[in-house]
Amino acid sequence: MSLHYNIVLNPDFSYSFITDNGDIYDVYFIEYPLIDADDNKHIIYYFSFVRNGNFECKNFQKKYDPKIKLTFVEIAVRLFDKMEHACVTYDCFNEDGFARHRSIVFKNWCKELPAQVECHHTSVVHRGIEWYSTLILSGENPLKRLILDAYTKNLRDIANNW
Amino acid sequence: MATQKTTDTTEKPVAFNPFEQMMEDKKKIVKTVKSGKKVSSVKGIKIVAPL
Repeated sequence: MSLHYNIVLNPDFSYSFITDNGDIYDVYFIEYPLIDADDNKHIIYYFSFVRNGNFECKNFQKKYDPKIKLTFVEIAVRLFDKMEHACVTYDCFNEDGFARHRSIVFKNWCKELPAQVECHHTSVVHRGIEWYSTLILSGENPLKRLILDAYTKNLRDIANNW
Repeated sequence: MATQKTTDTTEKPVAFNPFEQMMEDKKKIVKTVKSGKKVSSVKGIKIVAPL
């Protein structure tokens, strides 16, 4: 018996999985360029998911399901198996007041990732509201420092200029 | 005689900030999902399948 849910690729390039409770998760990645201080162009994958067709988070009324966490871990493992030097960002925007809660859950998920995969957590204040961001990349990425610096700088610029 | 001020009109190109774009895209995504549509129907974003 698999410890994670079955991940299916959809025709629109999103991925889906269905939990034992019947919740449908649509997982998607959007790519963005990130330019570092040496003008290297990196691709960062913005990772997000939608549960049952909406983003609403109703104060943790759902029972904890460890298979969801393990499905996230499986997604990350597959991604870094395929692209050793991938960069992924997960960002908690505060559209519903639960950004901090989501970031805490996500940090716990990150603890389950393989040792060579590093999660760097940052929070900035944007228009008076906290924005929680995580950058996930391999610790063996030779450009790790440049990527991390560019990631941090871009986030701080957002916080300072808005 | 009034002193004429000179200003440097050479503007530095504004560097693309992926987080600025991400935030704008997220607003569009939330609006689209609230209307019952799929994320992939949002104009101007491209979903990729890196797995």
